[in-house]
Amino acid sequence: MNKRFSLGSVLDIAVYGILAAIMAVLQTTLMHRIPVYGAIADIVIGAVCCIGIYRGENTAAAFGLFAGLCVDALGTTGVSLLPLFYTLTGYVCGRIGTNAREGARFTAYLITVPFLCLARTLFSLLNHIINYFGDIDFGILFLYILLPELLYTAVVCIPVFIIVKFFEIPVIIARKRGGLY
Amino acid sequence: MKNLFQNKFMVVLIVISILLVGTTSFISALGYTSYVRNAIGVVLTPIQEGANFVFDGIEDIFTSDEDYKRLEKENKELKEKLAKQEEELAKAQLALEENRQLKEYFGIKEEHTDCTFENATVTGRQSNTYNTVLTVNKGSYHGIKPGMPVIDNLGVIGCVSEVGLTWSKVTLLTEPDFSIGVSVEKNSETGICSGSFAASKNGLCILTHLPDETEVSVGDRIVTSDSSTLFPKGLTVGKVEAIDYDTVSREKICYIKPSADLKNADSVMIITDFKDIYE
Repeated sequence: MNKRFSLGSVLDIAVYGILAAIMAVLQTTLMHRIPVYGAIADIVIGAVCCIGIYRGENTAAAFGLFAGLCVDALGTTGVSLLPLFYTLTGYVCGRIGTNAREGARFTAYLITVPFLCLARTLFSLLNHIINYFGDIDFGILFLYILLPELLYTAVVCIPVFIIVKFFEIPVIIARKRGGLY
Repeated sequence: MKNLFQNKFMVVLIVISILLVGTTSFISALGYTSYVRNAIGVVLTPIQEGANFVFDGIEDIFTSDEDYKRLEKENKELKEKLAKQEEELAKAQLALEENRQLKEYFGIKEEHTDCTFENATVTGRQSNTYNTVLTVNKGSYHGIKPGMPVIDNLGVIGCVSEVGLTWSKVTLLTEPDFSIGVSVEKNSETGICSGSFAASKNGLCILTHLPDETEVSVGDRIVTSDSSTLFPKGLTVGKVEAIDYDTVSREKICYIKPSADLKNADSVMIITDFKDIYE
């Protein structure tokens, strides 16, 4: 591990660590104030996807794990699979980003987001089954919880992309100067 | 999948996440908080609190106008409700007053079992310099005839002077063209109570034709006499307000303050029958 690599890693950890914490705070303080048809969007998943596509699977998976833990710590009680889900999401998005051409990454992001939202919906369904087993009306669950959540999360992923890119500015500047990587 | 297991970092990360999820969930299920969740919570909770404060402020800005409109609407609704309740209260008070009057009427009815009464409501009051005439909502259709006595719960008001099909006009006790036989209650001395132009201006009527030796004083109660053919005996007419002496006719003149509320009467009773005089 040389000095340049370690400095770059430290900057990455700092920037994405702060971003994960902010995303978790926004998720638990802001999103419940702006529900759409009762659904609350997941903004962390968009950030994980964005980081995965642009920065690779390792960074995205680590970000996902930490962000999942933060969201868990701030807003979840009982059983929560969020850290694992975000970690796997980060890995998958990282693989997609690695295979995508440099100029087509935003397109890859836009294409990936709906599938991720679907995965998030399935994850929510799994969560409901775990936490409310035996007390679920699947018709109501899908129509009034999962479907609005899916659509709302997909829409919110666009502003999340902008926020993530804004936070990556220090990393991009450092990379351009060539001092860190 | 092959790539996943070749990537040692990812393998480590997934193992860590599985362990964390497992232990956190297990510890949480036992009712405790895991150290990881606790540590992150300790660091992030103040930030969360600050963010909540900021978003609360922003939300307040956006919702204050909405709140104002809601409060304005609520205020309007409450005002309407209050007005409605006040109206209902006024109606209830009117009903209470009506109830009280009816009780008194009932008392009169019980006292005068020889009389037949017809309740009527004053619908009009025509008043000018010379006279005051009440219009009531009962007429010939209801068996009302001219000359029938009209009373309220306090005493004699006057008599029916004109009758329509569904209405009648009542001449008041204080009008110059009105007169009835009365007596001083305490000694049964009889006289004639009639209206007078001069006295009616003060809301009074005069009692004349009293014998010289009659003992009468201010405050004495005057009632209808048994010699009266128009009114049943014993109805309250009023009280003596002042006493004068007419040097020409050499008799006492008493000014009577009618007991009935002539100015504000709105419910009256017409005596339609007593001693069969109208047959």
